[in-house]
Amino acid sequence: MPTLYDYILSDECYKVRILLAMLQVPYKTEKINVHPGSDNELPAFLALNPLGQIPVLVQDDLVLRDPQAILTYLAIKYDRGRTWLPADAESAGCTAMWLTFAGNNLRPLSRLRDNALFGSEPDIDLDQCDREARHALQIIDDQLAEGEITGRRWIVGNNPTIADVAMFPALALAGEANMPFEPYPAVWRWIDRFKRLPRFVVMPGVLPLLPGVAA
Amino acid sequence: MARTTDPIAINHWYAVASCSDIKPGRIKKTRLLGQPIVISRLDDGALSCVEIDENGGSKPVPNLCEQYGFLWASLGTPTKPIVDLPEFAEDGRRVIRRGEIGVATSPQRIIENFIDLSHFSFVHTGTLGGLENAEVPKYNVEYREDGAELWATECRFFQPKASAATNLSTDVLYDYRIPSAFISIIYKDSLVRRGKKDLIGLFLQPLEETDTIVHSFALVHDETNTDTHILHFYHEIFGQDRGVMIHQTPKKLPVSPRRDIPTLSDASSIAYRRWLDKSGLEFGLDRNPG
Repeated sequence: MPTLYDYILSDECYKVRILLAMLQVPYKTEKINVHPGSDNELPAFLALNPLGQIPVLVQDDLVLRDPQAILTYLAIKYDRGRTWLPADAESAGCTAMWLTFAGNNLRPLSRLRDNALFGSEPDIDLDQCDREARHALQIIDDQLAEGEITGRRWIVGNNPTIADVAMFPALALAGEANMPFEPYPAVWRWIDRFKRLPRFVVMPGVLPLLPGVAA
Repeated sequence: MARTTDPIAINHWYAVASCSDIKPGRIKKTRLLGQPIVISRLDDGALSCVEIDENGGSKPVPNLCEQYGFLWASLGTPTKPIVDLPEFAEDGRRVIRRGEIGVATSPQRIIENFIDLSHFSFVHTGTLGGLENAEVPKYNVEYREDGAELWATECRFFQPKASAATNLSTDVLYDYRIPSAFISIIYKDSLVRRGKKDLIGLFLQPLEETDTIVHSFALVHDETNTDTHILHFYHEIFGQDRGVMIHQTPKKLPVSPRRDIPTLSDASSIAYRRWLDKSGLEFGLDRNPG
């Protein structure tokens, strides 16, 4: 059974919690006091991940850091239908491309949220982060809006993939980064679709769909 | 925003840091009521807090005090002492430092959410409330200390998981205390030590009228869970609250009776608004009469 090193308010950990829930993988949680304790900077944690970042997934002798890497591992190991990380070359390539986008280009949006929540980035250049976050949001909105025209429901193809999972936390929590949703209507609609997936789980700051509200 | 000119807000005490967070050699830049301040630890171990003026010059804040593990500052002349919480000195409870969390709204919105019972079932579904038990039984609202403190007492609510220490669904009894417009404390029945109270408190540091840092603590009876486990429980709860509070408008709390259409379950919120209205405070309040 895998163990997830987790902090409840981390959008990066939430990526992994979503996929574990959707794939119905039983797992253990090792809770880390990231805020205010900074226990992720202690030697015991650095032995697991020298970068001092959560999440980390441990299974037997395997120690994985980086949520995109963890999603890749879980999809190959536990998704028998191979829809979350499609096996065909074209879809796999596109999924990897958007995974990297989630890991790199959505970081400014995450950093804005971290700063608003924890004040943890005193040296942050808010204007630059804001510009980069809006640029990334526009790129995703374009990708999703194009899909609405061509009949592609998700970031890659007609099934949700781990690229959608990797994008969802930062996008669903954009309001916590004081980012408006109005300029990105296709993202807003995609968030609604994502919340309707079977076994979807929330985290603090992400509201569930109201019971009885139709699609 | 420039420093507020509201004399009532200026004369309050505010928690501005958790003392143990200010390590030697580290400085913390923050704001209080629009006034930039810098907190640091001096060579002799004492904490310092200075106001920074527009030209980069500095002078010590006029009032500084360490209490309950927090550093407290007042920019004016305090009219009341820091809230009295003798439970910090009592044996049997664990102190859980919950860290600082920023919320882009007025401090009064945060207090109002904290003392509200009717959101439990919808915002904290599965822990502090459940959709099947959303009714708020009648409770009392009273003023104490010659009107200086507002209390809501005998608040009873059915909770699926009232604390990190229990998985028992049960009726839990709460008292809410608001000793200042910027502080609230819950006294909540311990489910571990019958007859004892757990305390959960918020000390608010207003950066600006609609931007606030929440310093908070818990004093709990819990002999089984780690601090980190309890911390995650509280951060889950507060993260849920925060997601709602940052979307409430207007961000400044309206206090005119013509601005609200309350139900009976809102008695504590309405008493808080009327109490703020009468206090003369302007900071963080929307005084449009409606």
